Amino acid sequence: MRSSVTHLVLKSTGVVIALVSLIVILQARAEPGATGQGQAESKTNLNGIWQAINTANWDLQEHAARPGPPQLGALLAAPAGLGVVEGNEIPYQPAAADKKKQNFEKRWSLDPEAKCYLPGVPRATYMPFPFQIIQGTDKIMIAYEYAAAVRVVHMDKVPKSPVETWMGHSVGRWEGNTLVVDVTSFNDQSWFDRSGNFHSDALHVVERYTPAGPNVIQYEATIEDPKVFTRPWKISMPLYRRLEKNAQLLEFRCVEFSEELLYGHLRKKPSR
Amino acid sequence: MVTFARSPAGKLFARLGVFAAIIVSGSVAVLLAGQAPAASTNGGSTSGGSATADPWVAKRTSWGDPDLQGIWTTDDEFNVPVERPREFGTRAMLTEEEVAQRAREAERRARDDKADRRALREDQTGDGPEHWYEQGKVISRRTSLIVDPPDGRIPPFTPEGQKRAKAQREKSSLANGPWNGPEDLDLRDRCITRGVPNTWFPSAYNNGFQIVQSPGYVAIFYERLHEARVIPMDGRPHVSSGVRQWIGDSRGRWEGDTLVVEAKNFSEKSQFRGATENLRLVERYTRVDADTVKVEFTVDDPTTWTRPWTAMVTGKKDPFYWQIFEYACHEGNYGMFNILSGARAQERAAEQAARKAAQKATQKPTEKK
Repeated sequence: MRSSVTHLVLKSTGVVIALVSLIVILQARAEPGATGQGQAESKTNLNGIWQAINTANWDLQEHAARPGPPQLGALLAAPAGLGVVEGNEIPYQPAAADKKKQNFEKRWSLDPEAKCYLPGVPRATYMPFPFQIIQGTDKIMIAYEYAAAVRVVHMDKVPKSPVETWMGHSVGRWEGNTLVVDVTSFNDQSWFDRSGNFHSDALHVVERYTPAGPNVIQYEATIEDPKVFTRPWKISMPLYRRLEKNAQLLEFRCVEFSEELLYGHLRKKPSR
Repeated sequence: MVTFARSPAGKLFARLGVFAAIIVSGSVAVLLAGQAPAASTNGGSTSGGSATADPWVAKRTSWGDPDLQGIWTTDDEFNVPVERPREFGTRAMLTEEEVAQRAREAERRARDDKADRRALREDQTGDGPEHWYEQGKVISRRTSLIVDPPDGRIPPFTPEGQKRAKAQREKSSLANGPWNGPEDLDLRDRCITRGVPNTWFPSAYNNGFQIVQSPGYVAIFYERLHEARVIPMDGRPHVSSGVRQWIGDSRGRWEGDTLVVEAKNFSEKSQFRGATENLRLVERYTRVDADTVKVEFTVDDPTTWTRPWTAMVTGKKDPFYWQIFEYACHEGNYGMFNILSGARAQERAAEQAARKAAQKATQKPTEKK
């Protein structure tokens, strides 16, 4: 008897919580459009050319230095790193952990970076290339030097993304002086690093860009993917302003650098 | 939903299938219900110019620059030829009758009528049905995109320019091969770049470009090939001529309410109608009204053409074009794979046939015995 009352109370509490969170979600969704234009405009200024200085693109987790493809000597060896994952663990489901291992073994040919494919999010942020934030009136554009990748963060109200993409669908808002970007609608093709860390099309990334001084942004990304991980996990790192007076994004259009890898076997062989 | 079917998003999703179309029509409904579209370009008007009487007061950003921000599309000028057909002489606009003819032609192409579909010939890699193409919503009256010289035609090539333009045309999926490797296809086939000023010319689809501004920068993001130019406005010099880029190096300035961008330092591998790395490009962006930005660009390369020439395109707002779609071209470049493997298969077939013929030729004398 007592237990059934407790059960009922728990159950109704659950319903209330569900309702409240639904309302919160709906409000949060309505918010960006509700105040109309000017959402990208904030006293917080993230404009500039930024770059991560770490080894996350080689491996998100802590790692010792390791060799690259042997025929290139020490050229493409991976520098060591202390890792950018909170607690260092990436909580793979068992089958996904196996796939990560396989990816690692075949990384020289399977890594989308080798093929010059779009980097996805958050990888675009910590590739060893600069990127530029252009904080417009109701959109924030992020242009990446690597592969001419571009994202537009919608600070105004937009429909849901109708298709899945490499770079995701980015909707932003300000929380104090933090730019929070909710990124969804990914395909399952991009990797997080050169070590085969991967995700599915259920990936959901929440990025937080917080100024930490005039030339530093503290960057955080919470990664959630119920098809691949057992729980959400988080990476964080500082992003540094490129202070050179003449700093500008240059082209790194790597498509032509990938053609031999992708199509070399389809070249006409020299005739005998 | 007639306008929807003829909108860029509608076309895109016609390509992606009914399922996506259902999703997007839901989104469009949300969009229509949730916010007043910034502009409506539909309606019966067939005129290129705006008939509104209200004088346009140029919008400014909160930091005081002329505001060119938004998503613009040149879809409406898909039916305007780059060069003016000679019969029009120096006449820049079509007559009412000619406009009606152009509208009928666009209407026919926009229909999904099997009879209108291009037949796929055996030697072609194929092309989509014509209703895939963005026909625009308003039929432009313009007779050419080129506005100078006054005859609307590209001035004569220098002899070297002519040679280069021909050589470039021959390396393309639309030419006749041989396709021995990726370099035998053009930059569009290879998904490397559409490039400027090439990307200004409206083509079959993905004609959108988005402008985002911040203090000291204007960024232009073209949907085709996801190309972004982040243009410094602070008067800094161009990068050294030692740094060559596919889409050059751009610097901008304001002349009144007009954005002027100069681009140079093109790569010798850039491809634009035979132009060389000496190409200088000057673009002038002027917002004409809430829904229109005019982009005029002058092309100057004395090693390629006997005089500079200028074209103009009109970017229009389209409430259905609410985002720049991801143009992940290289990532899905099955065309490259298929063209090269097809060429190798043809070679193998030809070799086999030659071997058989040779065998027959050697067998024949013994058969006669």
